[in-house]
Amino acid sequence: MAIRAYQTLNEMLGLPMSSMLPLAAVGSGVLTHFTTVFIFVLFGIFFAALALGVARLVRPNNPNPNKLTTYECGELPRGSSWVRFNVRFYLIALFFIVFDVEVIFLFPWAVVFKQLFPHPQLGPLVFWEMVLFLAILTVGLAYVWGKGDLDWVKKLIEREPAAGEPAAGESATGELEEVTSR
Amino acid sequence: MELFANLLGKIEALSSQNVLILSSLIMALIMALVMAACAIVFTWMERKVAAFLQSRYGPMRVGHWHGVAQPVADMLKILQKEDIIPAEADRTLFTLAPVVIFIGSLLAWAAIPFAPGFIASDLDLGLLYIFAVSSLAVIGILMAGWASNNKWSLYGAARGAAQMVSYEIPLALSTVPVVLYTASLNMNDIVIAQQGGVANWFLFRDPFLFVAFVVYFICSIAEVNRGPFDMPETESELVAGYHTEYTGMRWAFFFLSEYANLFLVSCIATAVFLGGWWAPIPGLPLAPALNFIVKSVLLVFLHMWVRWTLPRLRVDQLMYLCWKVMIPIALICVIGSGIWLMVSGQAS
Amino acid sequence: MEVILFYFCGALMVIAGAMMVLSRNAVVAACWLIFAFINAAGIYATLSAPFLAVLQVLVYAGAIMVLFLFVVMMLQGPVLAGERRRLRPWLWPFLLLPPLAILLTVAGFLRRADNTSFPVAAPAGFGSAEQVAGLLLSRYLLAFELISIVLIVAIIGSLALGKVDRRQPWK
Repeated sequence: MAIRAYQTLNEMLGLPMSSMLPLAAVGSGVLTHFTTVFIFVLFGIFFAALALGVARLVRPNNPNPNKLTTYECGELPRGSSWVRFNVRFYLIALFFIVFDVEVIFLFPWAVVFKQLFPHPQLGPLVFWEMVLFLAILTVGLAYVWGKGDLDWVKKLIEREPAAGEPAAGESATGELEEVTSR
Repeated sequence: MELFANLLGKIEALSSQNVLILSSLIMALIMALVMAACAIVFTWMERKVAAFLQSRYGPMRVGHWHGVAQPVADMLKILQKEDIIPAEADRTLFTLAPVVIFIGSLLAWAAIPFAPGFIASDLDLGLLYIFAVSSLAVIGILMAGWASNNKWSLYGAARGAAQMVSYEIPLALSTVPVVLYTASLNMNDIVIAQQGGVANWFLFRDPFLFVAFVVYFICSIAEVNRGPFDMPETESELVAGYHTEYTGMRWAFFFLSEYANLFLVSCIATAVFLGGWWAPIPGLPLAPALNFIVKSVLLVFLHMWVRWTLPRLRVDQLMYLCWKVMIPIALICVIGSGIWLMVSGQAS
Repeated sequence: MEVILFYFCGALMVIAGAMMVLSRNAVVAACWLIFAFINAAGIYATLSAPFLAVLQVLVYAGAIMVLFLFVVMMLQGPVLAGERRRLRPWLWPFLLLPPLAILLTVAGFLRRADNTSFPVAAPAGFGSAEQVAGLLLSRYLLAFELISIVLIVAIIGSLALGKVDRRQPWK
């Protein structure tokens, strides 16, 4: 069944079966476009070096220790700024990877969709495949949403203060610190 | 040794590809000049628009007419500024970061179709390629913020990176409905598919595409870190965000890339939603490139209008807007456009 | 041309990989890794796999490395920076292993160089988005749908990793 669908797909897309073979293939028209991209990279490096080089010739250079301190609005900097950060940035980056992969799968689907949907069997199949794919990921989004992890400022858990602890809301630091955004 | 001989042979064959290399170099030069022109024109335009919206004059003195030479004067000033690298900074990454951001921006220009045939690299994966290379800017921002060893910079960079990666998803999602219609990621094909008048622009093809354009526009503001989404650079709290410690020419590269990216997202919107180089009414005797640039500059004006009108969002509101509003709407647009395409039966 | 680009990217990738391992600073190492990934994309492009090349930049250099940078910059910054260690003497012989591996690879390659006609012209449309979609939506249909399950597991896993014990004061 899958192989049949695969052959039909190939015919509809006008691709010969041999083109699916994983040849270590070099030298198609695609490459000339990427050569241009490569030259753009080289040119970018050259351009940046040139501009910075010209500026180096023109600008003054008389550093002193005060000038080279880290700028913190006139205060002397205390400690390094390379500190630990809130875990929520890390979470956002993780969610981003997941949804980025989802978007990447959407693009090839979108490219072939128009050619395939008039087909009586393949059309609905291709459409519902993607709907299923998206639905599963939407469940993921809903789960994260429901858990409250999409909220930047997390809700404080209401609880009874333990003996010897200041009650929630009284503590100047503690949980309330979580409210401050960094 | 045969391999070596083979390589030498290839080097000789290289000379036949001189044409390709030369034309690529020329296009790279043109695109770099376009970026520089962006910085020059849009800094002046931004000040004038801001001044107009706030009932002021803005720059009036340099140059004879309405301070037109102001950006040139600024450029000369920046060129003469001392280059300061803080003693506490990580020198390698500090010097590398502006270059990374600049190259990321320049690369994206390679796939922008200004006019028929006027595209540096006619990649089949153009749209995806543009998203890929612009995601390198996030790396540059993180490098800059961390290397400065400045608290403001690091906060700005962390916020900026979180914001840019978050909004990259709805930004890419909102272009998927268009790809459904064009069945191609090639930027040229996308523009050609919109041949004809306004009615054929993807903006008006179906209601979901219109919504997708609105999503794209809002997310593109966040993607270029401009107000009301300018959390990474909030002057009133983070000094200047990730480029607090940068001076002179290095700072100029951040600035150049910022305005170039502003024009870039507008150009993508023009090519993808607003009919690219096609004139609004078919048969209007306008140069294709002129059409393209006028549309893009109008979008840039819209960006400026929004920036100087709306107050800044908080970080939590920013994330709320992205994850709970933009991404669901964009997903609905994708499925909705697919159904619309099937129902209306626009077969290839 | 493509062969030159291939070897250029390959050489840069090896250098970047070596620099990544050798850098003492975790953030600098991460930046070298990004450079290595971009060169890998260049290699994919020269092998007529444009979709893979773009994906490599988008996912690895643009997404996964952002996560890496967040982790090394913000979670471990002060711990990892500036750590200096000397190689233990009994490990020195192992330094010979990488050059040996490279030598063996090159030797093996040269021996087979006469009968490997590797620059085969790719058929039109090889490695394009259409082909990837054709494979994904038919032959690898099950894998494709399973990916979404894997992604949802990743979401739940990341939630568990990032869970802050909210009863403890956050530091």
